[in-house]
Amino acid sequence: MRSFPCILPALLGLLFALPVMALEQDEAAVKAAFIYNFTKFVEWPAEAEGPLQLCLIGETDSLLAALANLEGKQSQGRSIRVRSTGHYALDGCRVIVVGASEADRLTAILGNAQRQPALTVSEIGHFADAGGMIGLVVNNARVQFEINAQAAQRANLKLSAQLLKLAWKVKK
Amino acid sequence: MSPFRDLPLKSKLSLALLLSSGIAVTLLFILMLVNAVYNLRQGAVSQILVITEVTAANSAAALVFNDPKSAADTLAALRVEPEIMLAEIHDANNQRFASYRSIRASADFKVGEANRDNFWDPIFITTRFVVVDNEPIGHVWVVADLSTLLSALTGQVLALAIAAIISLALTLLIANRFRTMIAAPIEQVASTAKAIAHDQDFSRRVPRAGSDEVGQLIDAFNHMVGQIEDRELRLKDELQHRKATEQKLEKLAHYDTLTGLPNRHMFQQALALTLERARNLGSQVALFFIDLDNFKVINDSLGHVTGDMLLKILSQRLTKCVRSSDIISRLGGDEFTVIIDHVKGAEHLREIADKLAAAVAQAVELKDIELQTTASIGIALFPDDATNAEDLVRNADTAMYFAKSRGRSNFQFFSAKMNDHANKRLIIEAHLRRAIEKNELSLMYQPQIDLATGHIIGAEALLRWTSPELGEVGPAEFIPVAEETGIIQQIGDFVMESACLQARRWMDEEGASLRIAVNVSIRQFSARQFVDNVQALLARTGLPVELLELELTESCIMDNVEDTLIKIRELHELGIRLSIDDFGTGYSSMTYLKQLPISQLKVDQSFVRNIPESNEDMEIVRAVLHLSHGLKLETLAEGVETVAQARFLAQEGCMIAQGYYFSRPVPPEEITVLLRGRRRYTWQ
Repeated sequence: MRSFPCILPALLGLLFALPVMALEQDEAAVKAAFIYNFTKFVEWPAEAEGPLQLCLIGETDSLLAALANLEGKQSQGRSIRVRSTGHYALDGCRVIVVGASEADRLTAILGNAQRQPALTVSEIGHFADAGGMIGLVVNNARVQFEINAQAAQRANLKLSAQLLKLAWKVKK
Repeated sequence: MSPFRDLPLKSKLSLALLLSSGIAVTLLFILMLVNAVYNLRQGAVSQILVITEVTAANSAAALVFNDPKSAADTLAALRVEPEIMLAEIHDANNQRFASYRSIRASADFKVGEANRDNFWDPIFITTRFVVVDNEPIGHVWVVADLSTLLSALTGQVLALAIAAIISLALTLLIANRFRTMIAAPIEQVASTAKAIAHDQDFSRRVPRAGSDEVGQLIDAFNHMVGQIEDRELRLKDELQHRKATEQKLEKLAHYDTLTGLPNRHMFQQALALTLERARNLGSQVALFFIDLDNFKVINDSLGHVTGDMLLKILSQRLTKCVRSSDIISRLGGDEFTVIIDHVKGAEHLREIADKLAAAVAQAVELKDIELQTTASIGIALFPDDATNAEDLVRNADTAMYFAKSRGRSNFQFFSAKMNDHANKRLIIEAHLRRAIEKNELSLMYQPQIDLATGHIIGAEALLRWTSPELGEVGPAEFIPVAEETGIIQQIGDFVMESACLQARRWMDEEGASLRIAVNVSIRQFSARQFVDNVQALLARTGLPVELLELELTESCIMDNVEDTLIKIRELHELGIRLSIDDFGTGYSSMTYLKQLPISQLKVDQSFVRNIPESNEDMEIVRAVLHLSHGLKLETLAEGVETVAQARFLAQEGCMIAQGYYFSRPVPPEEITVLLRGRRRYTWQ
């Protein structure tokens, strides 16, 4: 994962015009960008209006730290509000990012999150299989994602077909 | 242009129709083709635009999530669009993110611009932004080659071409129909005109064909032919009418209107023909000359209506007496002739003559009167008595007069004796009796020239007798006969009256006071009522007395001196001029000459004739001139024929001259011409 595949810098450069990076922060930044971009390909139910609350659960790591940078950004005409929260106070959350530290409590968190029309994202392995909606994975030094379409559907979220098409794996 | 002009109308029409429809079809063909190409292109272009749009939309996530492979997959789907040659996805920095190249694109196929859309350019290029959340994150660039579309048009072009060929074929068919509609009637006009010119049948017409210009042409043509036909008919009518008139005139010219028999003119033709034939055949022809004996009495006493009826009946009877091959004619008045061809001997002719005489002698019953007349017939034979028609007629006529002198109602064959001198007088007498009635007498006038001025001062009236039977008869021949028989009275009256009327006419019409000299014979002069006659005549004609000059011969005066003296004095008192004619030829007594109130001496032409050769005659003429001068008489010299004579007479003081040197006796019309020309004679 932290190796230096020769294709990665080129790809990153193409996408964001970033300097060549092999650092953890760089990966986190890519993942944070992914998450930001996911918000552009998701359709929330009508009642889930207002600012786009991005709720971070878990200990602050490089990803969550990178996500804090999204505060105030616009997506689909909505402002992004980033807040850190516990396992239960998930009201108003539209996107729930589960930090790597919460791998063991995943089932409970997802159970709570189920009550919210919120997109659940995490870099925890097999997140989609565990009932999360989008799990970020790194294959051959490349950030990819897998999607649990069922979970999104249950939460009344519509994921763009393009997103499904780009996904490395889609669980139906 | 000229080869086209000489084409038949049919071909011109066909060509025009083919050309116009050909142009129309070709234009339509091109328009339809352009339209088809346009539609095809528009369809293809809009499809490409949609595809580009979709591709742009579908490429958004791939760009966002930096997945060039997915983008390439999206582009690869374009292979189902055969027109699309190139397609590329670029990111926000215009770096190529994914690309597609059709297998149909040739290796060197390369284009640069972002957009291209020209109708005539098969290469179509379009670019669409890839937009996510209202932000362009890149673009899709598509290049299409539309030329392949044209292959799809082949079928349509073929269909259009077939349609064009069919429409041209239809045009030809219609052209044919038009041809017959337009050219056929015109051809008919031409062929009818040809036929009319060929057989002159103006009743031909061209059948009507509608009311268009050709129809109008046909109507006008028919109208014209109709007018020609009318004129032709009128011409034919006129010709027929003229022919009928000519026949009528011919008949009038050849037939006598009263009896329907051939007239003198036709008789002469028939006789000439008959004689010529007889001459060739060596046969004999007899000519009968028939004259009714007392017809004039009947005509005068009962009127000529009755006379005409009698002539009609007698002519019918005469016709029945002869064979149809014999020609019976009426020469005029009561004279008939019969030409008997192929004479069978004298006995036969006698029989015919008897029959003819009997036919006339039979009484004719007319309404309330019965008329009896007889005929005198003369017969002459060809070639025995005469060898030509003229002599034959004269001899038959002579024989007829002999018959008449033998107590009438008989016939006489001509014999040579009849032409003896004594007999000739007889004939002359016979003819002379009728000469006035038959208008055979006429007057000629010989100008008398005033030798002082050269102008015409007067004219001597000279009698002419032209007999159809005897020809021209001189006064010396017939005047003695006329005097013997007393016919001279009638003739003298005729001459004097005619001359006075003519002088009066010259006065009235030409304003010329011409002295008219009339010869008076002894017999005429000795008539008791001569002076009264002259006076009455002058009164009747209104001629001024001084213009009448009576010419008496010396012998006339000396014949009965007592009586003559009285009459001459009476005439002188009336104011009439008297002239002694033929002076010098008789035995003039100077004593009487002195006593007589005469105006003029006329020197006889026998003295003038030999001037200037004969000195003796010249002396005589001088003596006469001297004498007349002494007696204060006017002198006139007759028979002046040369300029020398005229000069001599003028020199010697002769006042008036007359003769061929100035003019022969001429018809009155010629005198009129001389008067109008104010003719002045000279002898210098």
